[in-house]
Amino acid sequence: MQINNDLKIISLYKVGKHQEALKLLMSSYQNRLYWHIRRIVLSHNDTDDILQNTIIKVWKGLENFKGDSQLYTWLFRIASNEVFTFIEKNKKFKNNIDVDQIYDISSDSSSEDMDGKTIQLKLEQAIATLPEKQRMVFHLKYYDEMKYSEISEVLGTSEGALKANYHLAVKKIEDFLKSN
Amino acid sequence: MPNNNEHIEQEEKGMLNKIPKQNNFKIPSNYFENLSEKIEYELHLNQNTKTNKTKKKAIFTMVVNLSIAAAVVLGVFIFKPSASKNDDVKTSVIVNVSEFQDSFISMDDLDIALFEFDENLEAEVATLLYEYEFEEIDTYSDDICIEFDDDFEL
Repeated sequence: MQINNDLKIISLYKVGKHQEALKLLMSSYQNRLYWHIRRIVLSHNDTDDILQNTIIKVWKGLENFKGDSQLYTWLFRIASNEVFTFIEKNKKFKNNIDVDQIYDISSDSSSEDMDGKTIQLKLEQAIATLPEKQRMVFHLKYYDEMKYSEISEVLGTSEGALKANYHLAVKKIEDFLKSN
Repeated sequence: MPNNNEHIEQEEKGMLNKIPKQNNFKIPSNYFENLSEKIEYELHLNQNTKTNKTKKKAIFTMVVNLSIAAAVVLGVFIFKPSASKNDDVKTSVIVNVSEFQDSFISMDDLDIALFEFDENLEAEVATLLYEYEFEEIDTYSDDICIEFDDDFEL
């Protein structure tokens, strides 16, 4: 399904049906890219900016996309690069954002929901303590359920290094959850 | 080849699986519905901006070129004195040469012209000489007579 959509996006673009190609690209990836970015930068406004930049870059680069890698991993690679560029430019951003403030724990939820949300909040707080690249590896593996080979294409890191990174990330999260 | 980290992954996965994967981050309502339109607008806007930039660049280039041309023309007028004399000389030489070339006549024509000229001139000169001679002599003789009349009575 995903590969079919990727091929359709490229073929629509190449025959000049740009609007349709863009719509299909957005409907296929906007959600996943949004959450990929949001989990790292945390703020919605920053995510919105980065996502727009990502899609504009993807759009401009689509003409020269050779298909050496999958469109899907190429999109995530551009998004990841945009995130790292943003982090480099805003070194202090990490201290300015509190996960509690951006996390939605509404008071009208049932006690079970509240418990689930509280645990998730703890998990998000634990993830927020990880270095950016480790956090990205964790997200791509845990939430996006990517294969190591795909993450390797996205981040340009060897599979062995990614496995070690993921293991370390999980260990840190576990320690955080135990201590909190 | 078996994956060495598989047992670790399974263990971790088991622990993390206890926590449901949900997104509870706050997000503006209808964000994704409007995002597509927003990006589309942004892309068209970029194209317009690009066109405007190209137009501006073309106008700027044209203005620069015109300025250079105007500066060159002004420079020629301002710094003319030293160079202009030479230019005039050169110009006049060229004009003279061209005039000479335009008024070039064959040797036969030149002979006729000279002949005609000589004939007329000869007649004129003869007349003038005659008149001059007559007058001179006349005047001279009269003057002498008058002079001598005063001192001597002939």
